[in-house]
Amino acid sequence: MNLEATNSLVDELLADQQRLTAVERFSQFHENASEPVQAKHYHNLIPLTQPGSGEQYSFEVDLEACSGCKACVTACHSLNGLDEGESWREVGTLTTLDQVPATIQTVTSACHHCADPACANGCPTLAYEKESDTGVVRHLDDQCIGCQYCTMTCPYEVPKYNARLGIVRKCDMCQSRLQEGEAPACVQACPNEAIRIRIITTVKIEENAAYQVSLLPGTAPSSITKPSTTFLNLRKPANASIVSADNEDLSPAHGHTPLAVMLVLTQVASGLFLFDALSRFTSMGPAALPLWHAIFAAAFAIAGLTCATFHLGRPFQAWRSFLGWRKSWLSREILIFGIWSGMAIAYVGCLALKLPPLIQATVALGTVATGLLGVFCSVMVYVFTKRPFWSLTQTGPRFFLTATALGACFTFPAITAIATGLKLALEIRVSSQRITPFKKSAKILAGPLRKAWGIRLVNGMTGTFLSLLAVSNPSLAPLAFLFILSGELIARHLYFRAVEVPKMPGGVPSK
Amino acid sequence: MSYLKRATTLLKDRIRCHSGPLTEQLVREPGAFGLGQLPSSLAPQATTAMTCGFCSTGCSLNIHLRDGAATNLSPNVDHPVNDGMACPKGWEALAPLAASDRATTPLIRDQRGGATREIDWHDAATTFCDRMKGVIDEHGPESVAFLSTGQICTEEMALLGSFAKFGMGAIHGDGNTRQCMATAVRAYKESFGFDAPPYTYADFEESDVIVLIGSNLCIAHPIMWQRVLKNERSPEIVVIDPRRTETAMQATRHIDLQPKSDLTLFYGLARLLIERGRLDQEFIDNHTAEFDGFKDHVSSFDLETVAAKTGISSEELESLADLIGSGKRVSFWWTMGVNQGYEATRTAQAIINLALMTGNIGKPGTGANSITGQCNAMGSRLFSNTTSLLGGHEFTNDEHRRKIAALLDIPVDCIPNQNSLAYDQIIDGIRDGKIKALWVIATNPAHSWIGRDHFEETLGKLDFLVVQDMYHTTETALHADLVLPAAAWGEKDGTLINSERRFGIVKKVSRAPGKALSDFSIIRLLIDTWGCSDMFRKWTTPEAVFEILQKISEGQPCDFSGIKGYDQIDRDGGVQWPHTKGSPTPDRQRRLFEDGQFFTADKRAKFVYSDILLDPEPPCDVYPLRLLTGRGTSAQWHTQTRTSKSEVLNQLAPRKNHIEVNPIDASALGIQSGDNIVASSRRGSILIQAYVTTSVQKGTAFIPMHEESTNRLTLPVFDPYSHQPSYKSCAVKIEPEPRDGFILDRHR
Repeated sequence: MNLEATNSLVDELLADQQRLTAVERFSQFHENASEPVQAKHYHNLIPLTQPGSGEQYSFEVDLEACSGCKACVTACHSLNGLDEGESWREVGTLTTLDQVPATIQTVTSACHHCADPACANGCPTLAYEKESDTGVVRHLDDQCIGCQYCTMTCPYEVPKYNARLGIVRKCDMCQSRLQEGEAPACVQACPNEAIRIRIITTVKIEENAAYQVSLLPGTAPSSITKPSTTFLNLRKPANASIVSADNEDLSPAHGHTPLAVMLVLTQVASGLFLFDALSRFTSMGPAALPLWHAIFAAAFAIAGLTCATFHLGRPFQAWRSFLGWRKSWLSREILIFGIWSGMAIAYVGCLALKLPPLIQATVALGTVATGLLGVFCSVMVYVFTKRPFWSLTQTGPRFFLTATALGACFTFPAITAIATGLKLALEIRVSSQRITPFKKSAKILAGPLRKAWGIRLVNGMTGTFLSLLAVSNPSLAPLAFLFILSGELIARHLYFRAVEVPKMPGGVPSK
Repeated sequence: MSYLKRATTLLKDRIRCHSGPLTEQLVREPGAFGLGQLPSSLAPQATTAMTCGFCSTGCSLNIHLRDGAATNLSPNVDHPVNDGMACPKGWEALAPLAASDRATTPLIRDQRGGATREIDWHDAATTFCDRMKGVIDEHGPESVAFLSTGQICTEEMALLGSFAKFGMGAIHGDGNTRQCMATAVRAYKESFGFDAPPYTYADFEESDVIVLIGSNLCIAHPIMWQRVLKNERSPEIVVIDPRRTETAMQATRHIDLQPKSDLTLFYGLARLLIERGRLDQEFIDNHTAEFDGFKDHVSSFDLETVAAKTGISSEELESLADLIGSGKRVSFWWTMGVNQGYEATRTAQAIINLALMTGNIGKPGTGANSITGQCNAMGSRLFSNTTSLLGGHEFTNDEHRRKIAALLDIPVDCIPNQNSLAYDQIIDGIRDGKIKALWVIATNPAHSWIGRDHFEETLGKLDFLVVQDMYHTTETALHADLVLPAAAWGEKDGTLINSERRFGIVKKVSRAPGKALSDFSIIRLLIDTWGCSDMFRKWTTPEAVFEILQKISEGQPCDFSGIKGYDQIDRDGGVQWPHTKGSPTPDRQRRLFEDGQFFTADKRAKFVYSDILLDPEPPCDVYPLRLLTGRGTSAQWHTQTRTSKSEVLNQLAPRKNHIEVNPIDASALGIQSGDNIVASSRRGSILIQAYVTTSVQKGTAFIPMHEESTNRLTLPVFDPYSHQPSYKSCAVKIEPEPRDGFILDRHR
């Protein structure tokens, strides 16, 4: 074969390869179909009527029929046009640990369209709506600023952050399909008819939440959000416990670095303001505190709040975050810290301009009070998630001790030493693996996070020691401050990463 | 006032955005073509249906088209196979086409271990032909071999096998179907006289007793499980499997026998059936041969021995025998748990024997049914021109050679008169320096071959390795001297044949990237460059080849000469073979042997049996655990060359390889779920994550087949009749990861 002839064959083959002729070549099926042809499979799986008052739609999953094929997950992805890797349904596995023969129960789950949705209750921008007629918890994508707080408040890991769009997205029960008498994608796609839509009364949801404790073994207490999903026919061995297949998975949680830094910096700032004011306006503390101490505090405040914006997917929409103040601690935190940052600048201004002491004291009081109130809001932001590791008795002391330890460093080093030591003791106690609700967190600290945890311990102890020395030798205070600050940053990183995240059953784990 | 109102509304909308660009991304609108609502961004302008290219179920997928090209898909409703359902792989079938590591141009590697460089098709074809001819000139025609696949279209396989053997003059070629179906092929050929899976999927729905053997149907073939659930006869579902699989959980009866005791079990059941008089004597007398010998053979499998070997109680065995011999409709279904064993052919035949002796064949809801692996395993069995001559003919039969030569209008001397080496023998041939050039098409032996720890070295012994694949990154392609970029499923036309003998159609609905060509076009180009285009002048298009194959099939059990082109396959939801010329439009669900006439010379099915073989590698003191391998999840396909390209599928599978270990074995070694441990066999060691579960029996362990490390452990032994690798059993040990870290020890 000569070159020319081969090349012309190559050209012909390449041209043919790019020619798509299936449409011309084959007939079109269902060209004039007015109804979805798949309906014959699902007409029994969705209700004939709309929910009445006191009722809502809900998912009903027949666990006996779920065989773990996971078609629902891919159908949700494909039929809803979601991004690469994005799906609103998940399949996990519950299993016995040592029962013979084993019980294996695959579980498909999506949003539970809760009666008391924590995603909505925590959202600072009111980007969630519980629809009054359907009960569907709908996410308003254009309202979302991408703060991802709902990914922490939902005890079922339902809302998922979409980095491309900078917002969270979630299951809407294919509500536009339901409106037209079509089944949601997952219901349509299940070969085993394991997923159905049922109308459930709010009373029944409340009852379930009260009596059933949790949706499935190992999931969060249903009292938190009152989920509407019903799981039927769970295969549950009589004499053995059944746990999620990833029960032993010790993968650390999301670090939320901007939040960790923001929390530490704002707490440092509010502590600095407290002890700054105490020094200036009472007879306690060092005489003649230089102005830089207040400037330093304000700088921390502003740096902290700036850092927080890096956590937002859509920072320019952040102005909406006051909207949720009636319910959302996050909204309140943002509001209070917003006011506080103004007060902080005013405070520094008062001092710099040497305004009358009464004005100075008033502004100081305001700055300190809003600062501490802001820290309290921060505490409540995490307490609201109902995660045991983030409970009030854990989060409160941690946040306020951070404020105290670093806030007092240049003014009351003895307090710094005590606060740092106390906080360290609290953290060590939790890491002992003996306290039930923190066992997993302790294991994560001792496992994948052991390096960071080790550094945190060394930094904390060095900081405590240095702050003790600083009592007699104030020139050591900056060094102590640096050690404690770095220790606190790592501690806050661990606070996020070592938390046990409540969730639906997962699959066989792998790191 | 109205201005104020509008301003308020505007402000309200800004404060509370119920709509906007982000919301619009997901807006759904009524879809045409009976599809229901779909995202507006993906709304199709037309649809066309084609058969899925993953497994052998043969689901029909409705491809959503915009500007003639695929944008999305949904399962095809009213299709006789899947009726509106698909497994995750089917749903994601288009995703692998868009992967960034697609081979887009021919690549040549100037130096082993070095980088590749791009060349044009002319140079690629010339290189292929010059090097292959060079090897043949120097070492003879037995020194080149090809490894075909169950993943390309029937027409492509036929062209490939015909070019390689008739055009190039190669003697040896095999396919990756050796790894999945060879056992069933061999078993059926001997027992029925032809490689003829007798069933149709409707048999799942019409059985009273469904016996699943070594088959995790729920995740390996989810759509067949759907058919089981459609059974309205409240069937007894018996799962025979040493593991507590997803399917075992769904069974009404799980027979958790000891691994590798299946042949004993079936011989024992046969003896029980005979003893208890639960036979269909009339069927045995009229339609089978060699029953008496079989009867003698199984007489030594007494209840006590069988119970001891299988670990199944006598009561359970008796009750199982009674169930099989109850006279109800019993169907037997097996998959890789049977096929991939060192005495697999006889095990498959032992299952066939149970069906024959109870008359459970040729009737609705019955059969001894092998569920195939790959989408076109059956196409490969019939037309790859490897183990058998095109259309189930024999290379060693001169009459067959003359018939094919006449039909193809080629000299009969072009057709080899000797059988090809099997896959394992080809690999041995490479190792021994007898095979010098290898052409690998759409398969990935450097990942999938059993006991593959030295496989790279073996490949290194070749003078010339060509890999033809849609990705240039497969473990095998990374060793290739020449990479030929192939178009994928969805980028070409042709047919696939599913497990129940149904021809399905695939269509070109997506443009292949760069200069990738369909396997059909690549082979045409090679034929042209080789200089044998005259021999293949009628093989112009896939549909032209389909007609040639129809002619070849005439008079064979697989006769499909009655199919009226691709149009009929498309219109009728596929057509099962046989469908002879001139016969009326066939029913949508047809089974074989309804008349009790088999394809053997005497029209009788044959009882085939032999003695139990010694376990080639039983657990011992050093390697105390028996390692089983198999499918991990429904989202993973074989070596994951395609499924790993879909992010959704990746999320449905564990990110890393894991080994399932029984708690008793784990706690003895202080191993917990999530620990990294070292698993070793006599072949090698791997670092792997432990998952402690009672789904595996004490003394056994399980590793999914999808990660490349798994086959560093497996034992390269083969069934003596089918040459299928025995993936399902070898002896291993596990130990915690050493404190000073794991060093891969290849030569233990």
